[in-house]
Amino acid sequence: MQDILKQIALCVEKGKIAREFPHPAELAGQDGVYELAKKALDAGISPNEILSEGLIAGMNKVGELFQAGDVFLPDVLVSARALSMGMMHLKPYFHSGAVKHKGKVVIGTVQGDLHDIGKRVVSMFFEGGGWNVIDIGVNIPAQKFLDAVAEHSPQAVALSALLTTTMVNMEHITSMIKTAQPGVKVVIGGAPVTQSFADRIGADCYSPDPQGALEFLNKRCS
Amino acid sequence: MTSREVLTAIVKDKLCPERMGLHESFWQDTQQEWEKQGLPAGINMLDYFNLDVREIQGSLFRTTSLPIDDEVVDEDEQTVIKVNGWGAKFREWKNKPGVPEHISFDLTYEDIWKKKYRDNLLGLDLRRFPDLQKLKENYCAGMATDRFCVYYQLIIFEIMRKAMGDLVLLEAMYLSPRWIHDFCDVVTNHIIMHLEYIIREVGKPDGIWLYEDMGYTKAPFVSPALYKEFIFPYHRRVADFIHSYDLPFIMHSCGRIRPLLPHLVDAGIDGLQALEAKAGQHVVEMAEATGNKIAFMGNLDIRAFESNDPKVLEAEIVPKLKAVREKRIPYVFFSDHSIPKSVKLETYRYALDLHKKYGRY
Repeated sequence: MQDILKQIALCVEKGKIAREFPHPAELAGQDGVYELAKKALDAGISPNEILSEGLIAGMNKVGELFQAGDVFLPDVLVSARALSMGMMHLKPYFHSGAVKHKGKVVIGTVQGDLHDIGKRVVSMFFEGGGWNVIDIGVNIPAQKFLDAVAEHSPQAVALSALLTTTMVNMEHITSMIKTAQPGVKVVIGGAPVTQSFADRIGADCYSPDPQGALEFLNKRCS
Repeated sequence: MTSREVLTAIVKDKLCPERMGLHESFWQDTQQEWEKQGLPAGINMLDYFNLDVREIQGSLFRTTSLPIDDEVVDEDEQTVIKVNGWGAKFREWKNKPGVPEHISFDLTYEDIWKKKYRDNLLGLDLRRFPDLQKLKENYCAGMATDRFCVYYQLIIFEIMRKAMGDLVLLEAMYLSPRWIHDFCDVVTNHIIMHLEYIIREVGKPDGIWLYEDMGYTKAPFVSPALYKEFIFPYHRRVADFIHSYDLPFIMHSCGRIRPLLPHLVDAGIDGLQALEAKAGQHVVEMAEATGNKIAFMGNLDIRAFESNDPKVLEAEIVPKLKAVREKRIPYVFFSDHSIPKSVKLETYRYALDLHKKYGRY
């Protein structure tokens, strides 16, 4: 039983989506996450175990390698695609409540900034880590973040900015969230953001990479 | 020495002439803001600040599959939604610069590439040149000055990003490698064919400056191995073409591209520009890694400019210029970014004073 979970984790790590995909070369012709997750369910393994010991375990490994600079964005994207194939089989169990997310996180790019790629990559890591991600888009004003917090009751809000001229908007948004919902953690990131900036504006977490932000969510919010 | 002589020595010959080069780019609203701070109205920033490089014309030819300009399909008070000649939809600001939001891409599979987009790129297409007569006039006007005149154009990786978006592109390197090679091959031939036409019909500049944003703050978008497999052969082909005219090949890339540096040198680039400091890159370390085989332009941290604090600016610029001088690095003084309006005019003037004082070899 453990073998198939380890195999799922390995396939997520290596980006082996399904048997029909030739990538990666060393796993060509073998089952991928799509087939293995179904086989695991058919073998009576619980959806929770498939999620935590297979899919999330594999994505965590990718996150660690990415954080260390040993793999690059294409590896992450293919792993996220492989993970989503496994998630397809688990969807009914999420709907029935048999499998639960670790929590909810609202994510958006701050007002004045249309950049969305970084946010999408971070969202993939959060989803791959077992979080329910509510992506509210780009150029989001403070009030819209507050509305999303009121609607979804997340454990955390993640703010993204690409530019020095737009990251300043994080301060106002953080302040409003902290005033309205002091228990909600604020995570910030983006090219110009630094730890000292996060400290100054009262954000709970800054991470230069998605894995660091995910580790914060897992430790402090779930 | 004239600007042309200084830049030619630095970028083409990799020498250290009497002074370091000087250039800059500015966001489109910076000049307007600086006019409120005392900059004479309507001046040419290049001439006013005596910068070395003159852009003959940006975006020489349309590189989208359909040879059309972006079309506005929707708008609100602040933004417009446009569709480009790849069928990609993106949102950008109406009245300020910024990175666009990628909304959707049509080119998501190899079959779509083959059926809709590939064949449009196979031949020379004069509709791709927006205004050849104006280009000729700009060329003649530029070459009559002492500036180092360049053609600007975006190329392979950047074209792929605009065509299929980052996510499809980066996944496809693993999942559809044949498609990516074919795309790069077709686009490289297309670029060379159209550049060749311009050089023949308009004239030979002093250098060719090509845009390839290949990194973000933490890392290159692709690993050195993927770069070597998918992009390197085509950069090499472009470099060989440029060198066949005895011209230098300057490459712009934002983000951290330090891990790609050995391959970029092998590909044949002559100058590398931007060298973002906040991405953990330092001009001296990069120059030492290449044995001064290429010229470097930039690496002056925009955050120091934006502090508008003379001491912070000095701490960023002076040690770098001293090290560049000491190590004899062929170098052009340039921020690691474009100058936004948050940088005050007096700050930029002070940066130029520092170049004047410390920018001699």
